[in-house]
This record gives sequence, C-alpha cells and structure tokens, in this order.
Amino acid sequence: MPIIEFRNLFKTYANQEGEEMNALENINLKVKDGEFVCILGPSGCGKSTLLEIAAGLLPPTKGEFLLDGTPRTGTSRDIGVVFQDSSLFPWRNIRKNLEFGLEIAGVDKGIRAQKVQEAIEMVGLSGFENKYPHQLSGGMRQRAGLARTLVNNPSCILMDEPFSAVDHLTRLTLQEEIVRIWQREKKTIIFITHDVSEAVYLATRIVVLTPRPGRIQKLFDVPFPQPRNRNDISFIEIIEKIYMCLNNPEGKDGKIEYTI
Amino acid sequence: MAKKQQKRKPKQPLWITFTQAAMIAALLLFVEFVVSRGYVNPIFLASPTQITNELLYMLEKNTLLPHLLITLQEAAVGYVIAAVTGISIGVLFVTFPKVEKLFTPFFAALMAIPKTAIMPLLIVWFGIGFRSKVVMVFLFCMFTVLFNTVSGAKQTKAEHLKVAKVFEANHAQIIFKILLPSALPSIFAGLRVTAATAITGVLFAEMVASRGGAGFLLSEAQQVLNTPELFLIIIIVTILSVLFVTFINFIEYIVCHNWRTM
Repeated sequence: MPIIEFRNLFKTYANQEGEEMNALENINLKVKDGEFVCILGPSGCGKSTLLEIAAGLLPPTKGEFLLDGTPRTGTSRDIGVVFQDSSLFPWRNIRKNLEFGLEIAGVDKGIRAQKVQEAIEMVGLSGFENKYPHQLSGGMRQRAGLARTLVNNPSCILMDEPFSAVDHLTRLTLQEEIVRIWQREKKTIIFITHDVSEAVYLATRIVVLTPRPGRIQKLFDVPFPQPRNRNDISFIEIIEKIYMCLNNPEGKDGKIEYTI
Repeated sequence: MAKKQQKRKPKQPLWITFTQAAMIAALLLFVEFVVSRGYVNPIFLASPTQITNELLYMLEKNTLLPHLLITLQEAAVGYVIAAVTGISIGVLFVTFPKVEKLFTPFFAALMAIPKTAIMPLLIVWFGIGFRSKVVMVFLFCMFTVLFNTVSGAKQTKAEHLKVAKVFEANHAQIIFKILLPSALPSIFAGLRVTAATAITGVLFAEMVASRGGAGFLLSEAQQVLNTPELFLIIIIVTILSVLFVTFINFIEYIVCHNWRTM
C-alpha cells in the first residue's frame, strides 16, 4: 500500500511581472512503505517546493497529496522533516534541541529524556548533549537535525538536501549512516538532492525532475542491495544513464554532450 | 577549550597601557597646577584636590549619598517599568499583528515627541517629586525596548518557524519558544542603550524641578558657583551610567552566554 501519493499536483507562482509560472506541473508519484526515494534535479526545478507540500508547509495549487490513502493538507506528526542547514535553535543545547518535538507534543519529561538519549546514540552524538549548536561542526549539526526528527518517530522522513553544506568526506560518512538508520528503523524516506552519485548510493528509486516547470522526467529503480559499492560497474552505469537523462530534459535520446 | 580561547582578548602591549596612564596623570597634574596657581578662573575649572575635598566634605556632611540614592531609585523604578511594559507590549504586538498595525502609528508618534518637551507638563500632572521622574525615565526608555522587541521577533529565521510548524507547535509555543528567544539579542541591545538613557532622563528631570537627587545637586551647585561639586557629580553620574550598562551586560551574559546566533 502506498503511504504517500502525489496526485496530479500543480504548484503555480506569480513572478514579478505578475505572470503565472508553474513551479511543479502534473506530479504523479506513489511512494511505498519503506522506500527510499531520491528526488533529483537541477536547482530551480521545484524539488524543495515538492518537499514543502509533502511536509504540509505549502498548499498545492491543484491536485492532491495523500497520506495513507487520505488526502491531507497541513502538517502531520507522521511526517518528519530534516532541513538543509539543520536549523537547530542556537539558544538550546543539543539535548534541548532534540527534545523540542516531544516538548511541543506534551510528552512526559522522563520519557523525553529516554527517547532523546536513544536518538543521540543512534546518530553518534554521545558526549555532545550539553553542547550548543555553534560548538559543533557542520556534520554534527546535521546529525543533530536528523536526530531531532527521529526522536518523534515519524513513519516518513523528508530530507531537503541535508548534506549539501558539509564537506565531501563527512558527506560520505553521513550517507552510510542514513542508510544504516533507514534499514534499522524501517522508515520511508524522501530525500532531495542534486548530487547524482549520492542519489544512486542511497535510493531504492530515483525521480528525475525537469527544470522550470518541474515535471517528472523519468524514474529509475536502483536494484542493488545495501550497503552498496560506489565503484561497482553497474552502479556507475546507472549514474551515467541519469546524467544522460539530466542533459536531455526534452527527452531526446543521445550521448552526453561534453563541453569544456 | 574553545570557550576559553574565545574569551581571551588579544593582548595589549604594556607600553600602550603605560602611556595612557601617564597621559591621564599628566592631564590631572596640569589641571591641578593651572587651578592652584590661579592661571584659570576657579569658576571654570576645579582641581583634582578640590574635587576630592568636595567628595570628603559631602560624605562627612552626608549630603551626597541620600541624593544618589534618590536618583538611583527613580532611574531603577522607571527603567524596570519601562522594560517590563516595553517587552509586554512587544509580545502583544508580535502575537497579534493586527493590534500592531492598529497601534504602531500612535506609538511612533509618541516616540517622536522630544521627551524633554513634556517635562513641564509632567510636573503639572505628577508634581516635582518621585513620580514625575519615574514617568520621565519611563518615556525615555519604553519605546526603544518595545520596538527592539518587535523588530527582534521579526528577524526570526524562517527555517526555525518551519521547524516549529512541522512539529505542530501552537501559537503560544511559537511565541515563547521561537519568537522571543530569537528576539533576545535585540531586546538586550535595547535594554543596554536605554540603561544609559535612563540616567540621562532622570538627571534632566531632576534639574528641571526637584527636591533631591544628583540632578538637584547639579543645579544647586551651579547656582552657588560651586564648580568642584559640579565636576564631582559629573564624575559620579558617569560612573553610575557605566555601572548600569555593565549590570545589563552581566544579565545578558547570564541569560545567553552559551549560545550565539548563527
């Protein structure tokens, strides 16, 4: 049973001249329980808009967003969001930041502390509970941002380019960790990125969006079991196929055009 | 470790400190010399010795501390009322943007009135005692705190509000857990500026009409051409003003020394 579904979804913005522009056009996508879907596309293709609609932060102009088969608008405790720059509150230490969702939900203090401790251990932040966000590195902040979402135990996690602000090596480690957490916790993850190899490393399915307006251009299944080998020949072949797809947004067949 | 490093200030070469001290000493000696030798009319300038003597005399006669206490009380009461009111109205404005829209022009107009112009009216309304001084300090301070609270809350990061929405925080939770903490640095900036303003306000009010206070001493000393006392009071209120600002800095340090806005 698909737990998340976008049905004939449109999002229109008015630009400065007052003309209406489609940011998203006719998005139809079903995400099944436990899937890891990467949404891939160049910047400005409406990836983040799509995620904000799923998070309930933005209403679609037309079409529906369904959760477990029922249309819904607005946020849901069953959908967690990890933001691009982790968005931790600088006035709370890590433990307090992680507690935020439970505090809002009115969860008892003792249970709160226990769940936060579990999440801290899950993302490997033990020993940093009492630090403030500015005392942590970018990668650690991103772990904390992920843990803050995990604490609330949503069945689906939306991630908006969560690793785009960290250095390459940290990024690879974080990718491995997110896969480990996904396998262990059996979450459904929708992960937005513009990094093709990241998408191929992580996803069970990749959705390629076209730029302006954002339409679904192509879906790729990534059938390899986790953990994956980044140097595997079939792994690299999929990356190449996706690059071809991205370089031909009109859908024409052809080789990659190299321009240097 | 990181914290310690952050606190350590770049070390100043010793000779700079030494020269600065020497310059001050030279200035004091020069003033002492020209005044005691009679090169300058003693109405215009007071020597350090005269000022010290004046201090000892006033302490002995107990004519200094009671007045300072009056000034401090007036300033502190007015300041605290201004801070509480300013922050409360600020929270109200942030909570109900329509209320803010409705009242902002009026508050802006009130803020624009040169406060010193209202002083004669305040004396008519509240007399020349404690109350008119408190109201003056209040008017000097309240608007800055109010507008700093509102503008601080408006600088809340959009991402932080999204986080709150995703976790389904209600209106009150968004205000007290997100907007106000975000506004704190700006609120403290307002409190710091108005701490010095509060002293200015109370001195002015006391100089216009009063029966006591540092401002009263100033106008009294001026009338009898007691220049050493004028210098003494100026030095004391300057120290008071610095102490007041330092106190606010200290409170800010206690409240938010752990975090920095990123």
